[in-house]
Amino acid sequence: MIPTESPSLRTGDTVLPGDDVTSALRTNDALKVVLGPGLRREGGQVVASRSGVLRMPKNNVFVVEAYQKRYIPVKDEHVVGVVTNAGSDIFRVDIGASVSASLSYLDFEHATKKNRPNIQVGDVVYAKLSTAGRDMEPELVCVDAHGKANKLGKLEDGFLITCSLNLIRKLLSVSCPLLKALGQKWPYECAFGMNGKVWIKARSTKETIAIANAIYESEHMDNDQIKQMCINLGVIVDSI
Amino acid sequence: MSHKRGHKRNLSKGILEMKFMKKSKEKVDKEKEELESKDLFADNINKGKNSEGAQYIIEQSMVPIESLLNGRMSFRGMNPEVERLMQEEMHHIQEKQKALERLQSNQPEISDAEMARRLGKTVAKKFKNKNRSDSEDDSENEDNSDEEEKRPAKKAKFLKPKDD
Repeated sequence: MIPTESPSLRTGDTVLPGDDVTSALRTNDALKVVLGPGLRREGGQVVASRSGVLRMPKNNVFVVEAYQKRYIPVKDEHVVGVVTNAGSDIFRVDIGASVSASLSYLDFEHATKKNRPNIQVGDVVYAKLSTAGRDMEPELVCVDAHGKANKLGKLEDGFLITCSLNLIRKLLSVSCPLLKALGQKWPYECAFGMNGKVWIKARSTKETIAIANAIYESEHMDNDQIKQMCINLGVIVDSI
Repeated sequence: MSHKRGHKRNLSKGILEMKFMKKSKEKVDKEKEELESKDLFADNINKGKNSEGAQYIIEQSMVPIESLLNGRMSFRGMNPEVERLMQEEMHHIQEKQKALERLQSNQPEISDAEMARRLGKTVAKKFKNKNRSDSEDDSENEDNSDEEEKRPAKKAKFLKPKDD
């Protein structure tokens, strides 16, 4: 990749892969600059690696923001995946990335060589990426550093939907009211993977569909609209 | 001499081959392997690290950047175990935030007044007779005169008998 010179770029501009954004990252203070997703270091230059808008979400933190549905595995992120193959010592898990991830059957809570976890093809798991690199197959684990499940593991029953990565980020931000508002309306359980897969489990089919639709609809809404939608949704579902 | 002391003594090959040394052997092998791989990749790492690169931190995940929540949630008792963990997490975040605020406001974690109050108690304990009950502690000033009278009487019990 030969970075193209473009000294006029600034935060808020649209960038294409290969654009040299080094000049845009110069800040007045001598603090270190954090390069988020979409930015890559090539020698002494910083180069955009995807097309989107160059943004600064926090002080001295830069990212290239873009609408994205394809997941790029990143270490330590939590994902929801579907088991596609159960081998002798590993499970293949589809996490929506370019290649399927592997999950060792020993990386579950209380799992030993004799005591295998009860997981079949087609099951949904909530797991954490233990390794993720550009050139390697991603690896998953269902335990934390202390060998405890800590929310990870097989997700029983429920319903799986797929949405954009941007929507996941929006819903998991602290300021988003959707999940709490839905939780006040109905008891339910959910698992949001950073890979765009969402697992929902509610008491009835009706409620599950309502929650799934609410998640899809909130993609292009602001916080006030989301709150209003939840109120309306509650009234409609109760009346059916 | 000094560099010899820092170096761990290596076990001989013959000993490592013995059955009961299996664990130690594995350890030695692992160390060796690590050392070799380090040498192998040392060149690559140094190539990537130059003076310009030191000013950048690479963070490919949006989770810490946007401080996103954990995606596993439960509401109104659907999964009590998850809800317990959620509460713990919330508590943890709040504690962190409090600590951060304190750091930013430049106030000490424990105010001077509180320190004086706490230390006043603990240090005072040092100078008090351990056998006294708490009820007596509360009314210190009144008891002070009594104590001094009691103390010599008690000490007399433990006086060493004379050697004759």
